[in-house]
Amino acid sequence: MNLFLLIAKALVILFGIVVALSVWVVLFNPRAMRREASAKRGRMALRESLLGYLRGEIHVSAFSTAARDKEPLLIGLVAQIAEELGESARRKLIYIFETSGTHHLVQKELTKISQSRSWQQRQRTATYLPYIAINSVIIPPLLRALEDKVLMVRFSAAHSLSKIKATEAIVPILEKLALPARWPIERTIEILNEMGSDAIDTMLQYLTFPGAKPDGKVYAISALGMQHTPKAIPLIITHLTSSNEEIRIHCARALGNIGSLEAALALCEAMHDSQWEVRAACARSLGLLKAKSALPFLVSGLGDPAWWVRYNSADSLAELGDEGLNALKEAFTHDDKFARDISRQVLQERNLMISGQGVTQ
Amino acid sequence: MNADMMVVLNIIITLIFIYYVVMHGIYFLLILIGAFGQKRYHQGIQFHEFKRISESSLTPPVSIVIAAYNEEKVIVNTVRNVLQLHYPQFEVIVVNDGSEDNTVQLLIDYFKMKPIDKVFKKHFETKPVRAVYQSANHPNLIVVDKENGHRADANNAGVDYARYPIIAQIDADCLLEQDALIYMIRPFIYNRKVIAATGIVRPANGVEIDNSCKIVKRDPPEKWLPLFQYVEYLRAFQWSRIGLSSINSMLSMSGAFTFIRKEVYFALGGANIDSVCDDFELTVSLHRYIHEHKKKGAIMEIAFVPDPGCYTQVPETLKAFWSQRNWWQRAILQSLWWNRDMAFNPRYGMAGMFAVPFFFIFEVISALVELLAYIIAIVVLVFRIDTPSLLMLQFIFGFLLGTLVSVCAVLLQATTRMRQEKTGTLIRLLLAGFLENFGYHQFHIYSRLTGIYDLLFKGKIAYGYRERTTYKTQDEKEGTASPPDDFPYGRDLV
Repeated sequence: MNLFLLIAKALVILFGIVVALSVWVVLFNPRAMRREASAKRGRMALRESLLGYLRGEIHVSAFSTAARDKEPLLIGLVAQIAEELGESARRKLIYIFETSGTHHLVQKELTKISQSRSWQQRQRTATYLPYIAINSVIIPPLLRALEDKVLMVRFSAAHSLSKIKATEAIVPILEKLALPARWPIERTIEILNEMGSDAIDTMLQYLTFPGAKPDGKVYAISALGMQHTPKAIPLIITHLTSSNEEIRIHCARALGNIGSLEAALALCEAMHDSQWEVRAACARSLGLLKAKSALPFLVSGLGDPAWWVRYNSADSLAELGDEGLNALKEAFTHDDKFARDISRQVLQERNLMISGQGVTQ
Repeated sequence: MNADMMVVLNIIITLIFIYYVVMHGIYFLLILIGAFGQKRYHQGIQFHEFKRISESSLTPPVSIVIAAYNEEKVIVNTVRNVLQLHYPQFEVIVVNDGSEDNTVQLLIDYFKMKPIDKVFKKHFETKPVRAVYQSANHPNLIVVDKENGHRADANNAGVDYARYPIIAQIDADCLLEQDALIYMIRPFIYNRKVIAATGIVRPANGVEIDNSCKIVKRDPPEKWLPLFQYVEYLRAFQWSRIGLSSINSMLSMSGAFTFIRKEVYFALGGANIDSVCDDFELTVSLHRYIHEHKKKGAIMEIAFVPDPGCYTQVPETLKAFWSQRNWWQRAILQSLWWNRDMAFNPRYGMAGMFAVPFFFIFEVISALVELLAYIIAIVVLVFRIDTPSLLMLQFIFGFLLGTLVSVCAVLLQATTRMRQEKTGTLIRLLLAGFLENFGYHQFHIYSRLTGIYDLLFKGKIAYGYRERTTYKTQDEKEGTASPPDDFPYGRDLV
């Protein structure tokens, strides 16, 4: 019973605290909202100053106070404005941190990226470095950050390296972030793609490198496809017959993305691949190329056992203009029910045919 | 009453007391873990991350499946809200589950739907599909009109028609934030192990939409019954679920807002059509699937996204509230019974060792324990038994602990960026936290008890009574909305 009373007293005290806390929150809520509004105004004012500096209306020395009082705010705002206004603004904003009054911020961030025990801190620094310091200063620590034990830090470092187009980082990125089992392939491809056309030659060289990782090759091929790089076509075609299924799939997709008819024949041949994912990617790419020579291969794809191959073949036929559409209409007399159904579906999806009735299952 | 009886009574009261302390203690801890979980989540978001996701051509496309049964009051604006989502590539599949009202006709007329012969690989046995339509204005909108078979059956039919690798299941009364898909896809993008995800669901009763059906105001409800539920959603569906998710024990992905990889949905055999409520059963099955594949080396996770992305209508009348809570209780009880082999089974990790027993002991049994407490109170009062201090303590504990958890949930909310701007609203929420123990809580317990009875003794599966309120855009409120030409229903049903 004493124990009961003890706990009861404890609970009553706790409850009292909650009531007091509630009253406190209610009373201070208006003040908190005012402070929030004031912080917002401060942020807006700093933003205006930064924009004024970019317009040449404010001298860089005006930011030395902000660097002391509003350090995280300044870095965050600089990054945001640089993202909004583009590369030339980024370069000009970096100059703020090169002046005597604010240079210590850069040193502080450079120390954090290598020495901070908090991975979030290292990640944050890896993200913001491109906005506060020049390339020659930040590339070495960012390359070292690609070795960080935490994947998210490596990822942020890779993003920053791609932002500043540090092509020397391409191979390390392909090696360190080619982790398809742990890390989604798409993210690394996006990073490589962000490098822009400067990265093309390095990625082409990587594809010919004997020790290149197959996963790294997949990433490079996809990024070359997204870059629409015609000079990569011969090299990608040679990989279309690779023993690695993932490489073949990404080759087929990349050839479609590049969009040159030069790849049509190789893609038609790959329509006989043993893996349906490769055949589906080829069918899709042939539609992107609008390769009329692929018509018989696509018609044959209408009867493929895999739904996606049938669908992509039909969809690509519809992309070929009248000849393709006629082929789809002729498919209504096809012996294969699946070929008939998929042709009808694609024509209906494009509003080229009105359904009779019922659902074909 | 003799001494032996008094001893028994005292033991029962003591056990009930311990039960309440443990239950509320765990909830309190979960809320705290949830608060840290949310902080971690926000710290993990990278600069310009959501912008990259929204602009990348490599962002995985999503199939949104909306099961609809007699939803004529909300369906058009729900679909309009979903169609304006900010996301690179998605399709919307509305499955009309044999509605007896104008649901399907409204969709056909408003969105200019035309019949289409869709070819697909059938994975699930569902009630027959009568027709499939595709919108002439929105090629990414499909309506599957099928015979009635409950939500699980409708969801399975919708997934059968889905084209993309990630399935998003939402309810027909849900409104989504414009960036909801971007928030929800993030865990799938950054973590290969994530096979399913859910997020914060909040009451839509105080939500306002603009003329394009985009959410523009997110106030708590005006009426008290939905307001009590708002506090409950904060406590149970927000903080507690983040906490449960942090320890891999979240057994209930809301059916109003569930994301799942299609291949996993197929591997599970889809939603269980025999279940009272498919979402709870689906989540428990997912945990089972995850742990049964763990030994084979496949590591999988269910993610919880602590960003409010979805708003759903909560009942505004006692009848509708009773029906909903009765249904939820039946769903939990049925699913836990079906999966009882997971309880205290180390093979199922935290789901088996903590989540399943926790849900059974504190989500199913608590209604019965509370009933027992009230019965004892009546016995003590009627027979004038000399244990008033003990009894009083028991009730005070129940009240204090419940209030403590609710008020803390509201207070925690005030520390986040989702805080209430108006002090008046904050006061109302805190008051709701204090007052919910006087009437609302007891009626909730009654609904749950009848749910247990209905499942055990009547085998009731169907949802029961439900109400919907039309979402009105600004123009519709002012009476100046103009539905599309040849839309025959006037403005009321848009």
